[in-house]
Amino acid sequence: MPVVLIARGLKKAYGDHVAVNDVSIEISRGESFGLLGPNGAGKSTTISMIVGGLAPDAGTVTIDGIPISQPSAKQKIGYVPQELALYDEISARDNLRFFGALYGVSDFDDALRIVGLAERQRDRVGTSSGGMKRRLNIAVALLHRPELIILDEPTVGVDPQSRNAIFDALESLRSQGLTILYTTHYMEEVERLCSRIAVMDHGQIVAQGTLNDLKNSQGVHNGVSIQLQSDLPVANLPANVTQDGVTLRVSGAPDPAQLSQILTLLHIQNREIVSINTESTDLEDVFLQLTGRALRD
Amino acid sequence: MLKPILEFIRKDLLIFASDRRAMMISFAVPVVIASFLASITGGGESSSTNRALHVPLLVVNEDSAPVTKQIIADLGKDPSVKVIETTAADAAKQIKSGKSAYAITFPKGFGDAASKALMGGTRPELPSLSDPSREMEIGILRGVVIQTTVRNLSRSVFGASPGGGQLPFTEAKSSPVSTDSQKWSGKSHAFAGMAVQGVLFLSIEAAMGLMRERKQGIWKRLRSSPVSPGTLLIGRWFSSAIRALAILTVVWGVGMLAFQIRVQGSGIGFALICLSTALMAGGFGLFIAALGKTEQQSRGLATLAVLALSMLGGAWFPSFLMPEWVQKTTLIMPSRWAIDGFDAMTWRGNDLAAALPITGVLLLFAVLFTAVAIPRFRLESE
Repeated sequence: MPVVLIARGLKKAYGDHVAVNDVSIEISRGESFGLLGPNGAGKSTTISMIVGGLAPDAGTVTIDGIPISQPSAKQKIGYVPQELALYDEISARDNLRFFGALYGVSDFDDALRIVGLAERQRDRVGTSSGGMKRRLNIAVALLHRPELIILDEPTVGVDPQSRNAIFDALESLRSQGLTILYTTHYMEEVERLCSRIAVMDHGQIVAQGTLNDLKNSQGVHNGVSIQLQSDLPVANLPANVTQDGVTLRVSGAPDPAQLSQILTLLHIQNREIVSINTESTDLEDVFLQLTGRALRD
Repeated sequence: MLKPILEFIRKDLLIFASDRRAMMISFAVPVVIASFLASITGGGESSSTNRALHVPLLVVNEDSAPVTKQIIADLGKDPSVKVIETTAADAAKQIKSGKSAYAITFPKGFGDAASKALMGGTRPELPSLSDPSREMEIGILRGVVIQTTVRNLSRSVFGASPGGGQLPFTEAKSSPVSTDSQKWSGKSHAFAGMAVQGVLFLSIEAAMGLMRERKQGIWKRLRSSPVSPGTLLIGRWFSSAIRALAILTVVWGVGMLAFQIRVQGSGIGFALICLSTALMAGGFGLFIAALGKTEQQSRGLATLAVLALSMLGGAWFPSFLMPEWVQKTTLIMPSRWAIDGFDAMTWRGNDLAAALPITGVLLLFAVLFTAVAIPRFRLESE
């Protein structure tokens, strides 16, 4: 897949405080890339540099090989700021008309439809709910059919219903092949939407890869635990199964075929089963391992 | 580039119109204050000044007689007068523009003819030019001129001060200021001052709007678009200028309809002053937004600045009532030029030629304000 976004060695400091230090990201066409980190990790500063709203102290950003300072590079991206960057005093339609004009676009029906606001387009934005504003915030970024959409924590302060609507829209866009760069401090959002993830903390990327890559690199795994009636040793267990007293632990993602094989083995050896539980690790565990602190600290 | 600018203007006008009450206040405040000031000037005609010391007296000397030279020298010694020798054309220009109140011309042969008139000969004319709006200054200067002239003529003929009798010359008074017996109009000046103050206050609101955009992330979103910061700011500049123009139109419209204020000078000149004042106010808004850090802090400082610009620029009372040094230093203020420009085109009855330099200065202020603001916005994003 061709690479759409290349950010290399991005650095930004405010006085003595280094907000972003040597951040490099590559995103391929059609990929959904998550930038995960707690508040203050440097995600928004990184995004500001990527969209050309903030010049880095060091490093470069190109979109399809074009430096982000060029208008033709900016034309390829759609940016959803963390804030509700809209004019409350005018209607959704007038907001779209204004922002569309900046990209030479006068047809915004598609954008309204994608985020489900076609019927409320003439309402004044200030009178709309928070969720509707969030959706309009996204619609503005979709107006000019960008190749890459960059969303900076687009679901902050959104009710569950609107969050679902936003995710439905984003998943639909992903399925249409749109490239997505998504920042959040909600791990479940990244797990749901992104195929590749960079974990950011204290202005630096501390790990990058697929979710499984990250889990494997940190030695945290999904697994299944089986509680037995007695602690008698079970013979002929597969290599990824360990016994600790009455507990058998199967490491790795649950494999139905292997589980069936283990249950048959226990039946043959007359071992009575008390319970079976799945043990899953998530990005929270990965983040904890990487940084020594919880994601929402 | 044009389309985004036009959309910027459209969007800002929609926002301006969205809060009808605030919009009405923007229009009503300058109208109400100007109407009040116009009313208390009692019809607005005639005013006076109260400067007794070193009042500028323009002297045009076309005479070579020793007595005339002595008159001018003695005028220079009078503590209430500051003699400025000049040409007839310059004297007319200075009085027309309001820089001086009174000029006297000693025509060729005046000294000899006036001396002979003391002995019963024909009395020569002593022409003067004056600004009718400045009666007090004219009174002082005229008195000093007559006294000094008669004293010197008597000395040269009789070797002593005069007794009584008629003046050995006739006064030929005229004024380049008015064409239609126009005099100082407090009404016109009140509307000029409040119109300028109104657009300066509007520019604060425009600046606060821009600062809110920055706070809300709108500026960041705009910066991520393919449109340059310069284009974005020019769009904002023009939209502010259009709103300022709307305020000027309403304020002057009320003044003309309700108070019978008339543009006695050039109509085109008046339109140019309106346009350049509006552009200056638009640039001033950008300037405030570029320098400000927080909305609250900037609003306080900008309000103080606008009040100072209004007061010292002559919005509250005419600048010619202020001390000489204030009159000179306030020339660095755009408000002074705008108010003087409106005065020039209304009650002074000046022509287009008088409006052009004022328009130029106001446009220069507009460009300067915008030129300072654009790099600061660019630096901010860098």
